Amino acid sequence: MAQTAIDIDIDEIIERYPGKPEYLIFLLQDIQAAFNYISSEALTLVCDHTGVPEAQAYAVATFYNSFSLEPKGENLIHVCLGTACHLKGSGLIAENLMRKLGLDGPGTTEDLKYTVETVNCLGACALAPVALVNGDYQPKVTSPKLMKTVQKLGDE
Amino acid sequence: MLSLTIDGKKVEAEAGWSLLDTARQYGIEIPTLCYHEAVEPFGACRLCVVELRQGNNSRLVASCVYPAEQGLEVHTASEKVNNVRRWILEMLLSECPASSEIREMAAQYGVKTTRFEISDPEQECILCGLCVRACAQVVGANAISTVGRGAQKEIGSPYLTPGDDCVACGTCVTVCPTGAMSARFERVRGVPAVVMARSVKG
Amino acid sequence: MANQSKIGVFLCECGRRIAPLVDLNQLKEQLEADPLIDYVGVEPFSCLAPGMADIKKAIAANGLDRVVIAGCEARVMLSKFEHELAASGLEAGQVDIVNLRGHVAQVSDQSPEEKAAKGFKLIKAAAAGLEALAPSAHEKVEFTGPAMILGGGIATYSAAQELSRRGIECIAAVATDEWEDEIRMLHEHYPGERHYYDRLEAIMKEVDSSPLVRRITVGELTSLAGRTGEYHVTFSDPLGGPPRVYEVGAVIAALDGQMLNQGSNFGHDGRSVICHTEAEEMLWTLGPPEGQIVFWLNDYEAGHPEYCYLSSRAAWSMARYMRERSPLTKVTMLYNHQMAVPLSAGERAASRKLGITWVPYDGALRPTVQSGFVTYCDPEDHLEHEMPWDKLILSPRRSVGHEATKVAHILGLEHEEGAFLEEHKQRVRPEQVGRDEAYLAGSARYPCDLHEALRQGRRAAIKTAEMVAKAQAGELFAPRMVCVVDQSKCIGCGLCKEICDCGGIEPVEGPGGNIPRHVDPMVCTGGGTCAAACPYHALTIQNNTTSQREARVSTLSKALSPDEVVAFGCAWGGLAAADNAGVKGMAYDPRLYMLRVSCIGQLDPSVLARAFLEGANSLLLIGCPPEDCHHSYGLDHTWSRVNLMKKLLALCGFDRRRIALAHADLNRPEEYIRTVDSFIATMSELGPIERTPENQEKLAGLYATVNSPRVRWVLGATLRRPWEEVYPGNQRNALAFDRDMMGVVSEEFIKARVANLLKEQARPFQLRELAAALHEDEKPLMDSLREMVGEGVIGRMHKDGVAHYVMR
Repeated sequence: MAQTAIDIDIDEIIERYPGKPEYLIFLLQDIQAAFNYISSEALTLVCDHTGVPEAQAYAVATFYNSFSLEPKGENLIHVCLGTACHLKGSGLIAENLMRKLGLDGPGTTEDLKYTVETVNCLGACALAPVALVNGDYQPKVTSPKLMKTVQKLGDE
Repeated sequence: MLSLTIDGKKVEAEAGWSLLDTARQYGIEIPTLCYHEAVEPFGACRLCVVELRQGNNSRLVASCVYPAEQGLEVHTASEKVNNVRRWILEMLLSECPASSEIREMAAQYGVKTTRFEISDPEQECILCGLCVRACAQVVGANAISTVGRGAQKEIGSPYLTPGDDCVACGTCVTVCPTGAMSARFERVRGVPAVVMARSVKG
Repeated sequence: MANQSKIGVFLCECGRRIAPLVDLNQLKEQLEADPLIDYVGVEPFSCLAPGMADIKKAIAANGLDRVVIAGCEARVMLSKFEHELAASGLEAGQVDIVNLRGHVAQVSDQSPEEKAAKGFKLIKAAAAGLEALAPSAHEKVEFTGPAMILGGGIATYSAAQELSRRGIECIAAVATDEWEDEIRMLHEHYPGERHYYDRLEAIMKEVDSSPLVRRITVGELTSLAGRTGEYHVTFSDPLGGPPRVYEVGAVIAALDGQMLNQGSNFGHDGRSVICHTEAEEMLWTLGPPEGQIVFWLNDYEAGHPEYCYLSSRAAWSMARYMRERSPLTKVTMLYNHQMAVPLSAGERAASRKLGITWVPYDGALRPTVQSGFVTYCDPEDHLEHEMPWDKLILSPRRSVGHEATKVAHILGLEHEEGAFLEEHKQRVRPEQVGRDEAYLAGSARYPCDLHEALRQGRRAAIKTAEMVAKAQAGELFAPRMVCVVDQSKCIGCGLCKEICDCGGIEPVEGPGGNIPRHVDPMVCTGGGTCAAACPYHALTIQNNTTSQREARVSTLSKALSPDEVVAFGCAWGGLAAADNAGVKGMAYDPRLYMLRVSCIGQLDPSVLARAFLEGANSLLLIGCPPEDCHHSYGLDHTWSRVNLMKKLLALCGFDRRRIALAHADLNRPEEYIRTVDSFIATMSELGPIERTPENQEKLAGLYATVNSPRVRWVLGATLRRPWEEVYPGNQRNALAFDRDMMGVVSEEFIKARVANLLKEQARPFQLRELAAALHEDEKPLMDSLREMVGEGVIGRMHKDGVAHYVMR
């Protein structure tokens, strides 16, 4: 799904959990799920609520790959670089896509339209090479096919 | 009081003392890097490993965290222990080629070069975490922490920018075993509050 | 020799880092022979569990109540010792650490015997300081009333909600009882936040129904008196009755900034060219206007690019509101190309769907408002375009507001005229200060959006609640090294408050009368420049007094050889740099003997004078880099005191260079070493002060002079206040003032010496005899004597027809 949710009440998320340090990761996970990233304001709110010092919360947020501190784009594209996909040339597909979108590596375009990330395995090796576009599996994807799909998203 | 032997010497310790503290009390030197008297021991660098022998069994434990026990037979400079230290120092040499303290320590154990790839020839930080722990336990400011993980792990303040929590006491710089914190300190302590307040003139 | 305290010294071997480099046996012998020291122990490592166990045993067995550890850095290790030895009855202040490792063992090529000798002098000085310590009782802080939230800002509600959720009673002073009105008027302070109104309403409802929150409507805040735990807050009665006083335990100030309109320089006319507040008002009363609405985010052009994010978020909220309700309203956002569009990915999609366009303009060319059009330059094609508009909405002009400023002043929050109230966080260790200076929440503190203002309120409430909870459990204690006022000596002049930076000295109460000050121990950070400045010595830093410093410097000065130098280093600057030089094993001139202070600003001129009186030939003060003092303006205030000392040294006929002020960056120990070596080189050329009776008499006079209230008064006027320009006034004024000051100092110097002589000799003196004894001319001496008689300090009598002067 394209990320279009706005007006999410962050205070409601914070209030789901008691204000104790052990709830740090639960809160970070919920915020990541709702906003697709953890903003500095959100981190501050979590620290206020749980009593965890900001440096420690930041350490936890940067430790786990599933937490992102940068805002994500409207469209999330994950290209699998697992063994099967790699053998089928997914590396080049990822590179081409990133280059076409003006990215130096995995990341988000400046206009926040696209986020391209690489993952280590999507668990769909029979469909290699696989890309995930807004949660939809793209089996046996090629560079032209992927670009077309991505461009269509941009036109929406 | 517990009785144990360290390097063949009979020593006495109270319950709760670590092997390292006990050894030091008796003048026995054990090398350390991530250990500092002001903070709780961490067991990260593993340089302080000692060999515990019991009959035919032997195991290596980190003496900074391992508590003294009745009847232990501790060896602080056996072949196994020295071997471990050599490996650690050789790996540290590749991680922090710029640190003179590491080089000196390595030389003491006969390690002059490293077979491992050097990724950053200017690196001095060994990620012992002493700065972080001192800031948390001695000062109570919690201004810095480890950021990231694995090969990208580094020490820094949140968002790697100066923030409000650092009080620029310099405790981190003083406890740093390699002097790496000195360079990093500038990025953490930021501009003095007074100067900032002046720039907010209405 | 009856010592009132029992002092134990523990020497650390510290592996190979102290023991082979310092002859600890010699040191132990010297210490044992000294009558000041009651017990000496040697430990492999004092700081480790085995060492601590030995120390505790020794304390118990010998009844020790003061301990000096000759080990390593006090900055790093002292809190561990204080923590461990508390169980042995030693409070903070009763333990001192001399950095035998980093100031002696590791930093020179001296022989172990020489280093032992140096260590002995430093340890003895530390012991003397402990001997002079009169430990204060542990001060428990209790809360005598509920928390109070005043100021009328919107954060009142989030603070009240948080407090009530944590079971803390509070009084909320609000402007109006009707919370619907509060939301209605919110656009005066936080326009463009209507997406938050629902939640705000929920907060207000919760506060409304909470039994722990009492809402009162009051007039203006007129005064705040008291200290943490017991305040008296006075408001005027809005109905004209007598003032209303409330007894509260904690105060949270919720203060909102003002949103003013841009001026005519942007074409503002209040009808078609409006600002955010007016736009909100329009939306409330008339609804979304039809036609082309242009939001010009002109914060860059108004001189405040830092507020652009806030303005654009508020504008976005209003834009959305308009488009969602009125398809006939067209909205465009015109923004400076340097600004990053503050929308998330989802919001960008929503913006596109709503048809709100974001148009960047080249920031180098300021858009011009014309009738019906705004001209701007496109950053891509460099063409000048015209954007049509029916209503132009400009960014607000943010200011702190008159009322908020008044409240802040009463709360004792010092800040620059017109600047926001942003409290600067005290850059001291958490254990040195009981709480933040003020619990302040809202956009008067610094421009912020509604959500942030509420968050600040919540955070202030959390901190207050934590404090109250601790107090209720009987576990809230004030830090030990804070200033305290001797009310019998204080005349209420307010000099201390003017130079205090931490806000710990209570604010001025109402009009009229001089009121003796008192210090809120929970706010004071123990910097001590106030105590060093007070003309009547009415202030002292508990457990860290001027007497202790005089004892230390006196003992050290007596013990030093003629070519050795006394130094004071502050824990954040000079001392820290010395510690780091020690860590690095950098060698420098070992003739420097450093005494530890938390801030050089706490060095009373009497301490400086005492050093010279007791035998020091030179004195070096090393503080923090300029503008970097962690307590007050330690470096600046010390400059004035050193200046006074230089004048007096010159009057005594000694070289002015013997006392010097320096600063050191803890992160540049190599520069600290340059400072030390440079000073000592100069001092070596000068040689020692000849310790003749005449010179000693002058130094005694010098000591008395720096304690004279008149001199301290004049000195107090030169101490820089916060926010002053770096050098007070212009240089011609400074020069004129300096000459006046020199005049005062010269007069007082003579008078002090006369008084000393008459007191000491305890007999009447003729003018001739006085002039001879003091080696001064008769004429100026006569003037001084006349003054002293007039002041009632000395008496004049006639014997054999000649005037004689005698001490009263």
